[in-house]
Amino acid sequence: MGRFILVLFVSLIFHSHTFAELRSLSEVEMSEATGEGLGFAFEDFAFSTDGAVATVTGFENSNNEEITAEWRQFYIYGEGSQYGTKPVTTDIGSYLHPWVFRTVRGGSSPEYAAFEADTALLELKADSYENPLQDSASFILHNRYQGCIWGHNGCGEGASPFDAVTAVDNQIGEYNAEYSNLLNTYSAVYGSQASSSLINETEAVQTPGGVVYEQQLVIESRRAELESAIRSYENDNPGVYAAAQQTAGAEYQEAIDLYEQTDQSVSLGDKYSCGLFGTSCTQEERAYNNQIDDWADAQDAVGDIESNWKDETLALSAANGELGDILIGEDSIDETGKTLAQRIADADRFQVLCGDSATSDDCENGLISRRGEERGTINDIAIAIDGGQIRRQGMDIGSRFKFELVNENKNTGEITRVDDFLSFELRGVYLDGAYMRLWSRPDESGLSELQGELSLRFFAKEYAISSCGVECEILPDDSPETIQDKVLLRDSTALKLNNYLYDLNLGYGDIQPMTFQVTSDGNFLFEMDMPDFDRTGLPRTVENVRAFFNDYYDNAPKSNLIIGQVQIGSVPESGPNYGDLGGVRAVGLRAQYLRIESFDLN
Amino acid sequence: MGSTIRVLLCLIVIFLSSPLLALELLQDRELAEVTGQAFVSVDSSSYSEGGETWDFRRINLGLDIQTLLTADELVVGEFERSFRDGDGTAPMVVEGSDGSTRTVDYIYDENGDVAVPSADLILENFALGAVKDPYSANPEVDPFRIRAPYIELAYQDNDQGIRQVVGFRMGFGRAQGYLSADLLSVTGNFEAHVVGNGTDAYRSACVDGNSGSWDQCLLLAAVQGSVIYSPIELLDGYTGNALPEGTNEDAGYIKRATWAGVPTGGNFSTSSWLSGILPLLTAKNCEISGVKSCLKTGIYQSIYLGLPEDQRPEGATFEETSARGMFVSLQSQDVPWEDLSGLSNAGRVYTERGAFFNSAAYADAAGNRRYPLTLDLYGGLAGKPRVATCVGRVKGC
Repeated sequence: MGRFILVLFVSLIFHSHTFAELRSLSEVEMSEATGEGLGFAFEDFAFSTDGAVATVTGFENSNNEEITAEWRQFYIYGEGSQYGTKPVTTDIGSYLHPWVFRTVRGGSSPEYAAFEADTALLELKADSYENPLQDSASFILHNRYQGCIWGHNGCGEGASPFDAVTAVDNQIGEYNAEYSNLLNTYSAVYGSQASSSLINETEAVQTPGGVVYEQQLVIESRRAELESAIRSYENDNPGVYAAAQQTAGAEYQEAIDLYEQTDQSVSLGDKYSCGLFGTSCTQEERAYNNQIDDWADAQDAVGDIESNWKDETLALSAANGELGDILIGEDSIDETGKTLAQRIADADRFQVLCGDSATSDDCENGLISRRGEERGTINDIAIAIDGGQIRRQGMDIGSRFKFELVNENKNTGEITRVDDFLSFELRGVYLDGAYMRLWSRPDESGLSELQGELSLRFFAKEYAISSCGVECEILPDDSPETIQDKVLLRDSTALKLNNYLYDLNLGYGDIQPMTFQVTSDGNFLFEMDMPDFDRTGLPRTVENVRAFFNDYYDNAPKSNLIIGQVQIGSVPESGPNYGDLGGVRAVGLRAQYLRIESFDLN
Repeated sequence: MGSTIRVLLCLIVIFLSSPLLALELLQDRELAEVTGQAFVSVDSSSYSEGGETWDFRRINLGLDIQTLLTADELVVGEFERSFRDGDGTAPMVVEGSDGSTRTVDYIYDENGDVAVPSADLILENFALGAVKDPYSANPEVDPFRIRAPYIELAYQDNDQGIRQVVGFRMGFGRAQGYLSADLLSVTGNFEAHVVGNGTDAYRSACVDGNSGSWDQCLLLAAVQGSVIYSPIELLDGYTGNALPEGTNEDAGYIKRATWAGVPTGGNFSTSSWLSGILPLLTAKNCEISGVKSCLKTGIYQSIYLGLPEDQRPEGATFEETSARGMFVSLQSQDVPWEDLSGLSNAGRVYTERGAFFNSAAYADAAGNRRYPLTLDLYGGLAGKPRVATCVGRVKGC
């Protein structure tokens, strides 16, 4: 490792309680301790490797050829550091909003309701804020409805912060109108029990004994018979079917290639009319015509083979047709004037809009209710912005790597070694609200197992990924003007993810803990099992199981990945901005079950 | 207080020591066999076509993932597009009937323009995996399995010769299981296989309806009991064409589609001696022999990638029964991604500015062409019902 300059201005602030006085506790006092913990903050913090290089080896490509990576830059500065060229200081937590490291007893507050009372947790938690304007997860919610792409600046001149409130009100209005329409349609038949009756009816047809369920079993059986017939043919004639398909594919590709050499005045697959003696066509058109015959012959060969399982295909087709009749046939229409397929879709929609409360003809915990809760937060932020409040500054975090790769030219097959540069730079980063909790429980064999829960909340005003090469490499003796030019060049060629929120929640207390193991062959296993009903100790009835899962669906936190805008390169001063690829959202992600195991690629 | 520190230190010791209880000693010989497990590899390639060169960097992850994952919505490529702007953006249309034939009209936005979906991909109530017996007291997870996922960046030099990221994609080396969603806007390859039989075609064109002429009906009567099939793809619900009105010649595919089916001019294949009836079974104005051939994407609620459990041969491995080639990408210009479907004629998947979802045909272990979704020509009108992805309800959790 080269020279390593650490610019660190730290004021480590422990909670005043923690250092107050140390003395022995009695057993009784100890049992009452809930653990206020350690609070700490780094104020006026700045960090940079400043020219140090770390070389990472051991990476390979798919052909087991080694590639090398050099970690050439890493910095943590305050916002406005201009790709790490200006050592602006930042705060990681503060006296009033410190990071906290503590022990907590399960169930000691609503935040820990998913833990049993006998669970002792070890928790590391980033700074957190009651004020929704300072809480990044809430703030980005306002940004999303406001259409902002770069903190407050992207919201446009003269825009009102209450535009977001109007936007969410409009969405709630649309959902309510949809709900009213559904209610009007079905209450004409089912009266005041519209949603519950519809859900019961559609559930009955999709469970054992129901027409849809039973017909789907028939289809599965027919499909298995078809697969069996195909396999039987393949066993008797190894490779013949695949070879015929490959020939047909190759003939088709050849037809496309020849077609592209003609004037394409006929549709692909049709022949050119070459006259009685074949003289009114070009040589390319005649070659294409001949190829169409070859392609048709190859298709016929495939068709002839497939006729070996014609009966099974027809039986499957008939079974599918019967399901079609059940779902959308004339007989499936009831007094509401809707087919069974439409009624199933409407029952699903009732539950999307109203959650499980739709089964009791209420609308209390679905999409309408969630948007309503969000509306309150969005409105609070609008009021705060309107009142002149501003958000605190974030951090700038950046890394730059150089790779030496083995490149394959896909046209010629030539293999060369190439140098690559890649920078990841985050501007205006906030980590508030993030936490990790660890605890121990006996596993299936009675041995203690480390369990955990992770909430990683990561918000950046801009996430820039640049592949600019040596032209953008900032050297120690570069003048301020040169540095500025290189910064601008890097900025104008970067892929930028503006208003980037990564809100990852894994695990939900004792109900769905995450576990992590390393196997003896050096691989890892990460697991989050389906929520375990049996932990409740209640009898396993349909009602109890549903109540357990409804509680899980209503309370376990979901994850979100929201990118306000993807921008490639800089925004042109005039004309269309083709680098704008718009927003990306994965909202309300939840892993009800997750198992990740690594394996050796080579 | 001092109690805090004591409790804290005790707990640290307890927690750190707990996992050690499950550790087993390795013999020296076993230890010698343990090498660094390479669960990450990086492939670099370049590709030229039409005078342009792209560089690709693919990061392969040696991960085997099983999951039941749900999301309220997935939106990719939410930027301005408009109907007739030349790039192939599909109009939003409303379908009706005048009693005998299909009627269709544009939907207009508040400015009086033809409305289009707000993003290239809009998938609501997205899910990977399913719940078996969701209404019982013993629901079980039917996980979606992913092996060797990867992420890939595409680069190209800009006018000043500076290398720029122009595309990103995330894909699955192999995948198997249910993918469910309300498909409100789709851009990319959404290939399915529709299978029908001559009997239904005859009944529809000549018995229940009268779209077939007497000679066509004679032919159809002769081919009752034969299998007919065709691939289906995304299309414009207004015209039934593969590309909407006003699309430039250089636009290769439809954007923001809300309809799929057999596009105008597409027809069915069958075994050789029946090829004379194919013109009768050619799609025109969203109909094939009197049957609707344009269908809303939203009715395809669940797709099974790979071979379902009940159809797998005994002892078949995941490699033999899983699907290949699926990816989602986002690019700022034309990018020819490598086709990883394993098909013999696989070359490049040509993508244009915006988002792209590739759920296309792939080769199974024997090299056979398989489609992620197989529909019946007549039953297919009902779409594909969604499998449950929650306990106690189909979706919305």
